[in-house]
Parts: sequence; structure tokens; C-alpha cells
Amino acid sequence: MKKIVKRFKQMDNTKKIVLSFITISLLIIISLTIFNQINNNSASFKRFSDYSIALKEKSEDKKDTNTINSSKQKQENNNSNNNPDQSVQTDNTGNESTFNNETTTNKNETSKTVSIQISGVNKTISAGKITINSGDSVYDALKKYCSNKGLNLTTSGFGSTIYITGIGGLNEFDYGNRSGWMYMVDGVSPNTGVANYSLKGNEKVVIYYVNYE
Amino acid sequence: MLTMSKSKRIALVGVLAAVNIASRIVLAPLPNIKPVTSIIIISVLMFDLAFGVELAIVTTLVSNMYLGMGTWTFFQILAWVIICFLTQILKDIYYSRVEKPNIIVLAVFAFLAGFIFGFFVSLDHLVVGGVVYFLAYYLSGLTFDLLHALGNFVFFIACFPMMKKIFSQEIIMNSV
Repeated sequence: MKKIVKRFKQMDNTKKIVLSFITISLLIIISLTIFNQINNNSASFKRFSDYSIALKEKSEDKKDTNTINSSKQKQENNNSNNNPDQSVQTDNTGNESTFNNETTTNKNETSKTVSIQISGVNKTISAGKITINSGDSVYDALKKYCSNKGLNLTTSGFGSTIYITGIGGLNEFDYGNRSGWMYMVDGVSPNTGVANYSLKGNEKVVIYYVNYE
Repeated sequence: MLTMSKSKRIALVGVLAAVNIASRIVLAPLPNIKPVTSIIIISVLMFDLAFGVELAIVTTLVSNMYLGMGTWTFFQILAWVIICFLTQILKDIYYSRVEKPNIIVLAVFAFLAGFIFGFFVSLDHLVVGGVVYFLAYYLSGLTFDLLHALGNFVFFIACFPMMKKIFSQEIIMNSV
């Protein structure tokens, strides 16, 4: 330790300043990290729609226990609903199957349809099906869907860089600096923009509102 | 050891910072392939540590006015200051041995500096999201660090003889 101090004293002035700047900033980084970890402020993944999904599943389960003998198909769907995993993706697929059983009758007639669900804060804004042309992107489908349902869709950017800023009056940053719209196809969040992902048909698209704060 | 006059020093920092800023803005579409790190390393080798630190701070602050200010500005300055310090250590080793460094060794150092820069810039995600988040962020950025490192290697070999010729009268320490 004394050797290090001696060496430090022998250095010229600029080196001393630079070295102390580096050590102080690294110390600040480490202490901030530990502080954040203890307070559990770290990027907590909170989704408003998760609560609504949980609530829906509870009520759905109650209904199903009341009318157990209603139909075989419903029981199948119920089975998939009975495993509400902690993770976000499985939660979501579970939820989709609930609105899927309304639309399974149409499923075999036309292959070029996708189901779209728009979930906002604590409630599903809109859910249903839409016919698409082959090669349509998620954005094209959403645009068509919103104009059909009379929802107001606002975007920024153009071409493949289009970004959804608001749907039906619910805009990004409404619930803080880190809130906005995201999307999911078949329970997986794609790595590209909404206008870059082309649909094949029979997919389940979920557009959901997030708040990372 | 010679010393530069203050006005000359400020002018030199300005000129080199302008080169860095222009290259950062013009080469912005290319992922991480920029001569900034190489020029900072060369300036530390030719002039002194304080010169490199000044150049790094001016470059980061001014170019981020165009490219976007954020928490990363501080981490970029920190990363470049650390690279300056490591370069100074390398220079001291050569100075104490009384030998002139080989350009290939220096270029390999510049190559490694790309990875050092990537690591320290990723540290802001350690503060935000903890160790796991940081690791995921850092590992997914390794390809960009590799591009940065390869760009450094090429730019170092291209810039070093050029800058040596241009600034031959201003070189402070005759170690290069």
C-alpha cells in the first residue's frame, strides 16, 4: 500500500488528476449500482395490461367452473388458461387463447387473416380479426384495423422506420418518460420495427402499452 | 522536452477536435468505424496526456451536440480518458527502455482500445439495470466493438505516419 502511495506521489500532476478522475468515477459507478440494486430500482418491468390479464383469467376460471359441461373446446382452452406462468410471454398467449375461441370458427375459411389485440392501461381497448394481403406488415394490418374500428392512429417517421405514437387517444409518455406502445407476434417480440415485420396469416398480433418506470 | 506555447496548444486541440467531430458526423451511418480513438491515441503519443484528455472532452461534448446528448456522454469521456491513460503507461514503458515503438504494436494497442471503449461505455447500463442487464447489453454489443477495433487498426496505420509528418515540428516528447 505504501509503495502505491509513494508511486502516486512521484507522478506528475496531470497523471495524478487523470488517475483520480478515473478512480472517483469508477467508485461512483459501483456505488450507484449497489444503491440501485438495494433499492430495486433496476429497470422494473411493469406492464399495465398484465394486471388486466390476471383479472380476466380469474373471472374466466370462475365462469368455467360454473359451466364445466358446456363444451369440450372450451375446456381445452381452459386448460391452457390454467397455467398462468409468471413470465410475460406465456401470460400473453394464455390471454390470446381466450379471444381465440371466439374466432376459431372462422379460422379455417380464410387463411390470410390475423387477429389483433390492442391492450391499453388496465383494459383491452379493442380485439378482433382483420383480413390482410400477403406480405402486409404489422403496421399495414394495424392501420386497416384502426380505420375499420374508428380508432385514431398517430405515427411518426416514414417507410420502414414508422413508429406508433398513439392509438385511440392513448399516447406515448402519457404515463411517464418511459411509457409507450410495443407489439408482439405469436407471443414473441420481434427485433424489427412495426413496418418491417411482414405477416404470413393466422398470426396473433398484440399491441400493448408499457411503462418501464 | 520542449513545451508548446499556450495559444498553439489551444489551436492544435481545436484543429484535431474539428477533424474528430467532422469524422464522427460524416461517418455516422457506419457502425463505430471512426478515426476518433486512433487520433486520440496518436495525440497522446505525440504530445502529452493532458492534450489527449482535452481533445477527448472537446470531441465528445461538441460532437454529441449534433449526435445527441445523454448519460453516455460522461461514459464516452471516461472511456477515452482511460484509453489516454493506458496509452501514457505504454509510452512510459517505451520511454524508460529508450526505444521507439513499433507501429504494428501500437496498432494492436489501438485494436484493443476498441474493446476497452466498448466495455466502459456499456457501464452506464450497469448503473441502470444491474449486472445481468449489463452483461446482456455488453455481449450483444461485441460485434460493434469488433468493428470499432478493426476500424481503429486501419485508421491507426493510415493516420500515424501522416500525423507524424504534419506535426513533426510540434511533437513534444521525442519518443515516437
